Amino acid sequence: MSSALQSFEAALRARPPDRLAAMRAESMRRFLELGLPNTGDETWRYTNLRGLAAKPYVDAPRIAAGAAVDAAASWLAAASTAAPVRIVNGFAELGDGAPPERPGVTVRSLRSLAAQDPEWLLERIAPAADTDEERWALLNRALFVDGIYLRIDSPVEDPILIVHLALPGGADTAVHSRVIIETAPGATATVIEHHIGSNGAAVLANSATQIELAADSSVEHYRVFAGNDTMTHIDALTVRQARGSRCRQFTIALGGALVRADLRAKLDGPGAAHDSHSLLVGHGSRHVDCVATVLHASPQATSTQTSRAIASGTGRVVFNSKVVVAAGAAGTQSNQSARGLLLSPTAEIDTRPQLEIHADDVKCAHGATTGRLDPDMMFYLLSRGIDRAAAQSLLIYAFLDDVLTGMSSPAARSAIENALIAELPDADLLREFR
Amino acid sequence: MSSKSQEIEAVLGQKYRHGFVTDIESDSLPPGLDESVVAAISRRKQEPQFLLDWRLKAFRHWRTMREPAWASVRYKPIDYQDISYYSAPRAPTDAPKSLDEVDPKLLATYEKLGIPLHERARLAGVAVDAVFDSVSVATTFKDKLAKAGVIFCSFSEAVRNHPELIERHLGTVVPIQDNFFAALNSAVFSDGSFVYVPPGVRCPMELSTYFRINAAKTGQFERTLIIAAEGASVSYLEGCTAPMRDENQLHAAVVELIALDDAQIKYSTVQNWYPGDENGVGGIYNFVTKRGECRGRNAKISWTQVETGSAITWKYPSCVLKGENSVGEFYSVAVANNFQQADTGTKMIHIGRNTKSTIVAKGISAGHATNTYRGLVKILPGADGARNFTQCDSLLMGSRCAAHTFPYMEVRNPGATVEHEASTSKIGEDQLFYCLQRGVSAEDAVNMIVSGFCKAVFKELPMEFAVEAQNLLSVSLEGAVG
Amino acid sequence: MPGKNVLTISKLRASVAGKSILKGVDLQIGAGEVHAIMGPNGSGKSTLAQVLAGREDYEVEGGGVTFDGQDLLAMRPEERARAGFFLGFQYPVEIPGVNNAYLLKAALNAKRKRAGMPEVDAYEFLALIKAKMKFMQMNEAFLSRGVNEGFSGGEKKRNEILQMLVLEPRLAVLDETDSGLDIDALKVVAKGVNSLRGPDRSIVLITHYQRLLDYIEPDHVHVFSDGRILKSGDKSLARELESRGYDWIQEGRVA
Repeated sequence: MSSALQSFEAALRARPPDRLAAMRAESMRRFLELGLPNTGDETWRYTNLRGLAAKPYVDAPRIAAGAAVDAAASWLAAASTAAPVRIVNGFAELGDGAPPERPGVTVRSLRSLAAQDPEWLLERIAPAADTDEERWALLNRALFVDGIYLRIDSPVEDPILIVHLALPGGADTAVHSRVIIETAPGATATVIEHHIGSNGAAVLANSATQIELAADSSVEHYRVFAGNDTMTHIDALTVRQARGSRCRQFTIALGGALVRADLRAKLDGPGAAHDSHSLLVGHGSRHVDCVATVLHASPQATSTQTSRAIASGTGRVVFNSKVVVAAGAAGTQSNQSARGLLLSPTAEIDTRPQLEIHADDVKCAHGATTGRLDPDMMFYLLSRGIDRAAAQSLLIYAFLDDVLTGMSSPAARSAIENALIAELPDADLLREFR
Repeated sequence: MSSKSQEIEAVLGQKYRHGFVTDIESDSLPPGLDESVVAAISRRKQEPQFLLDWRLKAFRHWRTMREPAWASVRYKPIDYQDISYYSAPRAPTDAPKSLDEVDPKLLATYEKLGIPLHERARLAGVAVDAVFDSVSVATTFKDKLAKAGVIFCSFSEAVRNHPELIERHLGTVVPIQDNFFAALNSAVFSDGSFVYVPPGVRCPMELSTYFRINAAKTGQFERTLIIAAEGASVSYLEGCTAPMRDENQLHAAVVELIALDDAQIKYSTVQNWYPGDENGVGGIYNFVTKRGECRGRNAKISWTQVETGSAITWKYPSCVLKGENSVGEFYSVAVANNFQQADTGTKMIHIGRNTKSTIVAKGISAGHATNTYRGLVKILPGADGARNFTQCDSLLMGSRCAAHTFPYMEVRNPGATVEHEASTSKIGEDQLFYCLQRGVSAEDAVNMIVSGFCKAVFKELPMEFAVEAQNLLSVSLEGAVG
Repeated sequence: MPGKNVLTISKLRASVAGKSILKGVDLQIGAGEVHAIMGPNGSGKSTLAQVLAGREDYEVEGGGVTFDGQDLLAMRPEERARAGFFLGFQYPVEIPGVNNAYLLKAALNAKRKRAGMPEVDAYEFLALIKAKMKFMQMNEAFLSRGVNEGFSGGEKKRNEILQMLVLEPRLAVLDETDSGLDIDALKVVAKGVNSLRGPDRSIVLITHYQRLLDYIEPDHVHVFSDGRILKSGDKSLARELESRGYDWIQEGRVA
């Protein structure tokens, strides 16, 4: 058994048992049986975890609330008029100074729910499948220390910001946090999860978010990965959608040494609509791997997946998307658009837009391209007197346009654009361009 | 709709046209596989030592390998010890010198299959190297080819007459350790075809082979090697059909193509092996490794396939594009009906500068069948200016079938452009209705729509094959609308 | 010939992918002149335009081009543009995500910056461009769309002329700007081109047909064939070409 596995098992043993202990033990047993995924597993073909496996991880320490506030300053703060909900090293900060509850929004700490009503909580914690994509979700079930339960009961205008902050302990530190979002029928909300990490020793963040959408409710969800260059981030997002519900999802990878972002959406009621967007930036030596699966389990549901990947330096970006149409899901419509932009001879982009279809009354399509900036577009801009670097930035920015324009929260879009532009050459010019 | 469904069932119930068995004595080895069997095959064929060594090496490697499980196909485990690895039709003399010397029963078999060998050969100017079970029995037009300097013969003959070419090229495109089935083939291959087109020669006719699987429980392990030297070009046609059998039969062929500078190889296949009955009983297991290497500059390899048969198809004709400006093409129609399972596609490996590849794959699923496109496009760092375009479309007929599309695009050169488009949809009801309203029968309407769907592939087939392919498609799918 | 030469092309030879296209082009364009270059398809007219604009796909194999005394071929495409060289593309590319108005403003400011002029601010620019659009009978909605995105063929050509009017180039080379235009659009385009005529500006019209020359009267007409100029004359040459085709000139050359 690898050092990492041993340390995970030891972490669970060392903790005082809580009222979820049986579920945790069973999840750990199953996780250890399966072990860490390797490149032989279909969805881990392009991401090697050998370096990670060799490390012994320690639980992230609990940081006193006040001390973490500065480090948790989020560049997405302007997206919400309310104070953010903070999860520091996996622990929800809902004590003094916690955000006041807003009409239609309920926020609880998972720790407190586990203590008060473990049966109720257990019913809500999504089971993880035994597939290779979900091993980390199993580990999260075993080891999450705390997190947030968020319930939306009515239409809520102002975006809700959740800031995940990972602060290293002395050695290799692992943070396991969980967020559960539920809506009531007809409710709507925008939820932004911002994952940040401060500098220092390497942190492994293994987060899990589940979203349960009741009938005719609607959520726009953002997960923004902006960890530092030593951070490894593995995130599992599960979405289940009831009849007529709508989910718009944005996955933005702007930081971290390794980001692995999974999305599993299940369209579980007729007429459900799911649109996911990914903006994956693999600069420097970053490795970004996004695996998105949308399961059409009900008739008349629609889904779109839009990804834009940029790799430069020795970066590598993987976009692995799949639409599964179950037998009986008549009237399904889905579309996948995956585009990659390769900016250096040592970078790599791997794209797998997949369709798995078990029904006949469907319309599914995908298109994928990988290449450089279009030389005709480049020449056109140059011939109008635009300089080369600016033209390149403009075209990169234009390349990302399809994802950015999908964002319906102007404040969130603006903040994300700013962060993105900072990653590109000619930041000033691009700011003007907007 | 329900009366339409019944009509469809009735048409789909058409029995496999080519289902019969010719009663010919077989000279076969008993079932089972070990080193002595490998040696026995080599001995019967009086092979040189290097080939026996090569077979044994492959066999030893094969024993360390596991059957691949990643494809979207399900089948009962194959007992490799229950297969006979050699059978040859018995003939009075070693090999017939002309068609007159060919066993009349064999010729009658071809007649039943609708392949009037000599007539067709004469009329169409096609040289036919007909494989019955595992050994070549008739080859024509040798003179004309010999005049052009083209070597076209059975693989065994090539081993006898051109051992240096075999030793130099065999296994250089598909090495013995490449995959489980290729390793097995390398150990026990029985016969197949060999083509060598010398520099600057345009092969004066289309080369063609008809395969048949006949004797019960005999696996068939063809080995084909085609070499087009500098500036040479050749078009090779492969067509298959098999008699009805209840027991599954294993077929694990290997085809290697080598194209040097400015050479062109076009390889076309119509595959119509027995697919099993409407309940999914029987049918051929078709685990084929086909790969071509564009070794030289401006070389071109083009695969065209129409796959309508076999219970299971596992096949990825591929191109390794090493030479600068070399071109790889893959055009495919795959039809899966009843309980057929097809997992097929291609691999385009771009190594050289300005290499180009095109993939057009059309999948049609009906009944309870599963049809999977699986394709890899890999652009390596040295492939500046490489381009790929992939189009793969699936057509669904009936609510119990499945169609999957699993592309892999791995790009490691910023000067390359890779484009992939795919769609999956039901056969167009409004198109069907339009045809019906104009008085076209349901069957004809489906045929029209399907052949329209497949047009981009059919137009790549040599003329005489295109007609045959069209017919096969009709037989496989008439009225298959749910 | 009024004034000095704006553009002098001498013995220009160029190839693409090893294939020789321009085989020794000689041409002089004086200030304020309008030249028409006519010729059959594939004769190299468009290649000449692309080479002048600095397209990298073409290899210049010999000869030279001076533009206002500068070595044009030594300049990068964006420098040529800022120096006042404008190419109206035969097939303007669509650039989704890059806004039309933004491109024009950036292009204008790049040019002004080189000339040591202050950048235009958003208000000035808007006033300028709205006036020009009105002149070109264009819908203001164009401004907020991506460059040429979803434009019809005629709209794209109109957009090219709009850009030319905003950038006020010293030399404009319009590559088959008339092809694919209906008669009304052709008139608008011609109006745009004519409005730019002046003693300091020169225009080269590359065209296939005499039709455009009914609306924009050229000072000089050149017949281009097989990579070079075969014959030059005044506007009557264009009419002769219209009635007799290109063959007589090509035959004449052989004889």
